[in-house]
Amino acid sequence: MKVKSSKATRGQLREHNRQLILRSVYLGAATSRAALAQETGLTKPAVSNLVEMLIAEGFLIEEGFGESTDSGGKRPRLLRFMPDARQVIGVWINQQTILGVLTNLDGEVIASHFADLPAIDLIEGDVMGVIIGVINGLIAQTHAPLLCIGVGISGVVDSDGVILHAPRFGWTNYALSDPLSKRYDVPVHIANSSELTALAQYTFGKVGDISKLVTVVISNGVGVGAVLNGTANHLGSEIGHLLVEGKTLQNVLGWQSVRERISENKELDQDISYLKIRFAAEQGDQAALDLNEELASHVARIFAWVIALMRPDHLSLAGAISDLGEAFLNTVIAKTRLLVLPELVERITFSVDDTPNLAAIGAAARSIQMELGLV
Amino acid sequence: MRVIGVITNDQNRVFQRSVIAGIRTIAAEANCEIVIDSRADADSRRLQPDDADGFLVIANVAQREFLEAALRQRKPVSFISHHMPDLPFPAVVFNNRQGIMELVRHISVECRRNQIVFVRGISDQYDARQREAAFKDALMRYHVPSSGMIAGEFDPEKAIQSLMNYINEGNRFSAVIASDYMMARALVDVLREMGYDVPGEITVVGFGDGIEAHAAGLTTVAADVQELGERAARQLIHQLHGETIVGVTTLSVRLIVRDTSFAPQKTNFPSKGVKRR
Repeated sequence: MKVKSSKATRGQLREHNRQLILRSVYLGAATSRAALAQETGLTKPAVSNLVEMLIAEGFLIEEGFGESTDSGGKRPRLLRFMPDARQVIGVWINQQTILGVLTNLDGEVIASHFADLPAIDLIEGDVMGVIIGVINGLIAQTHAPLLCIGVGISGVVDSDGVILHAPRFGWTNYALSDPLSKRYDVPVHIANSSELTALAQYTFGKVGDISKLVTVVISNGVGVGAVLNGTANHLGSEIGHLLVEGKTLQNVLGWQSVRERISENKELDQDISYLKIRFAAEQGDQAALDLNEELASHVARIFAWVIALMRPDHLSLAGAISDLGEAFLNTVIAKTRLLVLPELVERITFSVDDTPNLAAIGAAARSIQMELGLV
Repeated sequence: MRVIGVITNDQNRVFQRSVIAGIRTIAAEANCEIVIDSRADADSRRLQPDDADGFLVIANVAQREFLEAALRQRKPVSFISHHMPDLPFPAVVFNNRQGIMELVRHISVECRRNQIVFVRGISDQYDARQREAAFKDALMRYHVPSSGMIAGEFDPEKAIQSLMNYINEGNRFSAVIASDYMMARALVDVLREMGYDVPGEITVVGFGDGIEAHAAGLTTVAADVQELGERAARQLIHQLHGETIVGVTTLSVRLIVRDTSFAPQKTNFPSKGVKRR
C-alpha cells in the first residue's frame, strides 16, 4: 500500500530550521553563526536570517566573542539563549486540586498557584471555572509574553491531546485544548499527567543520563509514564482501573483508599500522611510496618510488569507515595526481585522522587517542546 | 483612576512596610491610587467596601463582616499571607513548607545539629500555622530526634523572653529556627551576649530576608517581602480588569547561608540551573 505523504510547505521548513537553530544554541552544541551552519548543515545566509529573526523575537542575544578559527579572521559573535524570553504555564488537573506553575523556558518555576476542587460530584462548568481561575492567577504574574499552556490530567488522553476518559470531571472524548486556546489565544497541549511527570524528571535532569525512563506515579490515582530512547513519547496512562485480585489498583494504592483502611485501624493516627506512616515505621510501629509491606507488594507487581514489558534503564517512583521514602523503595525492589527475572532487575537503576508539582512542570516542558522544539 | 484599599494591622512594622512598598510600585505602574487602613494608627480611616475598587488584606486583619460585604458588592479582594478557603478570594503567600523544610535540612544534614528549638509566630496567622506544621513534618523527614517549641508571636522581645525561659528550665539545644528573621536576629544577639558561640555552638536561622538579616549575617530562607506585595497587587489588578482568579499563588523561597550557620561543604540546594538535554 502506498503511503500518502505531502511535501513540507515553505513555512513548515522554515519553522523546522528555526527550531533547529534554537535547539543547537539552547543545548550549547553551537554558539556562533559559523558553528551553527556547520552543526545544522544550513547555509550561512539561511543561518544568519534565522538568527536575526530569533534575536528580534528575544530568544537569542549576541554576547561576547569566540575564538578565531585556525586560519585567522574575525572572531565570531557568540550567541546566547534567553530562557526568560517567554513564559509558559503548566497545569496539573488531579482529583482534588488544580495546580499550575509559571516557568521560563528552562523550566525554572517563577510562581505556582493551586485551587482545591469541590469534594462533590463535579459538572464541567465547576471544573472549567477552577481551571480558568488558576490560569488567570498565573497570567497575573507573567512578566514576559506567554508562549503556551500545557495541561496534564489524571485520565486517559490520546496522542492528539483529546481526553478520552476522565470520569471525575465527566469528560469523554473531550478536546479541552479548544476552549482554553480560544480564551487565551495561545497553543494549549494536553497529555496524561503520569507521562508528564516522567518528562519533567527526564528533561530537568532529575534521573541522570539515561535513555529509557519509566515512572510509576501513585497519589490518589495510579499511573505510568515513560520517556523512551531519549525522547518524550506519548506513552503514559492511568492504570488505576486495572484489577488485581478482585480490586482495582486505585482501591489498593490510591491515597483515599489507603486513608479509609487506616481509619479502620485505630492504632494509627487519624490525621495521617505518608510521611507519618514512614516515621511510625521507622520507630518500629507494627501497624505502619504492616501497611508498608502491603503497599510495597502491590507496587512491586507494577514494577514487575513494567520491567518485563518495557525494560527501562531507570524506574522511578513518584507521587504522594514517594513520601514513604527510600526504605519503602528498597522494600519494593526486594519484592520485585521475587516476581521477575533477577537479571532484568540488575540492569535497572531505581529512584524515589518527592519533588512537588512534577506533573505541572512536565506540562510546561512538553508545551515548550511542542512549540520550540527544545527539551 | 482606580482605588486600591490596603488593610493591615500596622503599616509601620517591617513586614507590612515592605509589602506596602511592593504594592505601591505596581499600583503606580497601573495608575491606581492606594488608600491604607492601618489598625494600629488611631487616625487611620477604617475602610468600607464602598471606599475602594478592590482590596488587599495583609494577614487576617479584616473582619468577616467586611469580607462578606465586599463579596456581596462584588469587590475583588486578595489576601496577602493569609487564606480563607471558604471565601472565593485568592491569596498570595510564601511557600512556607518549602522554606521550613529547607531550613531543617540545612541544620540537620549540613550543619549536623539535631536539637532544634522552633520559635513560633502568631498562632492564628496563616504563615505561622503553615510554618509550624511544616516544622513538625520536617522533623520526621530528616529524622531529627529532639526538638522544642517556644512562643515568639513575631515579636523579638517575646522571642527573647521565651528563649531565656527555655534555657533557665534546663533545656538543651544546638539550633534555633525562628518563624521570622527579625526574631532570629534578636536571638542571635542575645545568645552571643550570654556567651554562646553562634554558629560554633548554636546555629540560628530565620524565615524571610531583608536588609536587617543581611546586616546581621543571618542565615535565612529568602522570601522577598516586597515581591510578595508586588505579586499581590498584580493579582488584584488582574481582578479589577474583570478576570476571575481562584486559589493561592505560592512564591518560592531559597536558602541563603550566612554567618549564623555553617556553610555546607557540598552545595545541595534546590538548583535554579537546569541540565539541558
